Amino acid sequence: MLAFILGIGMIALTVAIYIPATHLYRRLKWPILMPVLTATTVIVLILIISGIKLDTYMLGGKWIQELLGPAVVSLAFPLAKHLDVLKRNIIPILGGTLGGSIVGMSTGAAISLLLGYPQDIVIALLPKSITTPVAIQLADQVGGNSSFTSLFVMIAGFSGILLGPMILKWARVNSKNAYGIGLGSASHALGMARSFEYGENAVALSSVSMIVSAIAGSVMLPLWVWLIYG
Amino acid sequence: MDIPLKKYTGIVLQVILMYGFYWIGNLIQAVLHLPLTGSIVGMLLLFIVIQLGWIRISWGEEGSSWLQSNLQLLFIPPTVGIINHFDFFRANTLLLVLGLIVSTLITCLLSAKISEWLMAWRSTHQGKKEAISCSHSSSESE
Repeated sequence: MLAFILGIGMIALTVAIYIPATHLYRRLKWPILMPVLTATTVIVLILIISGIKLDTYMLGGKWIQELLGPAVVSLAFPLAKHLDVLKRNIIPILGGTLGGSIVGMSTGAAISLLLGYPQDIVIALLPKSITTPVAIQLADQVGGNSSFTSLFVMIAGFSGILLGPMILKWARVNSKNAYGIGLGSASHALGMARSFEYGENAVALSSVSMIVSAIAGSVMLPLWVWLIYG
Repeated sequence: MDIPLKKYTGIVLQVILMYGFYWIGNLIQAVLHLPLTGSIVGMLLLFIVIQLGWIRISWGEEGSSWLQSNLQLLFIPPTVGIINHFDFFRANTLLLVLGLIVSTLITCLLSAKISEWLMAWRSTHQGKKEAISCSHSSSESE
């Protein structure tokens, strides 16, 4: 019973911080003020100051996190709705996403191997561009440290949405649809959330890129592990 | 009070529907030992069901866009989990994090560039496609 009340309390706390964070972001539009960044910072500070343990926060947090599953499932609706856009762009989507996935995984592996990190960290890093609920399960399956995977996925998500658009602008990528594909393949659902700024088509393309990289990653990850560790 | 009760009832029911597909997806994944996750299996299943016309797009649109426009809320709990990894940052991990960021940006840039290039290639060749019918024969010989 106490766990239930605490859980409800933690959900209420999260929502109560998320709503003003959203309003602040809508007003100022600074990428650094994205609600997930500001709200997470505030909640982490509250937990540290009040001495509430992560496990206690997660009594409510896990129910919010649980919605990530249905959120991935819900992508079926925009996919069906934008099927014509997707069919028309199937080659660019597949080419861009698969190219990105291969390079993303190989550079990730190269860097962590060069720096001499242990096997479970190297493997945890490989699925960094794949959406959290998928990446964690994947890392688990092939012997990676999955709690680090969620951290790496977050870093990939945030760096992509904060710096990605700048890099794309600098590289003179003009197509808003290409922004969607780049953000979706490098920064999964966070990239998709950022794509809302580039129009409905960009969001649809971004969500497909996210899905394609999740599927491609599921297939490629065991291959990478086999290539590196035999 | 001005809360659109009917709209929110709809959203809740639709999210429950998607949760159902998530649950079935998990079940199928576990039984068949698929390399995909339950959420992806559920999504593909729902997509097929929509294509078959058993579920209309309009039945889930509101709930789906509600979930997606509030994705950032759903990411807060796993991100708060960072609190247990502060030690990792205290150690000498700056280079790893930097490398991770560079790798992510290369991924983003390359995906966007390749897709933009392919879009441009397609639009310049689309007009000629009807005139020259068998342009894909070269790949068949490989």
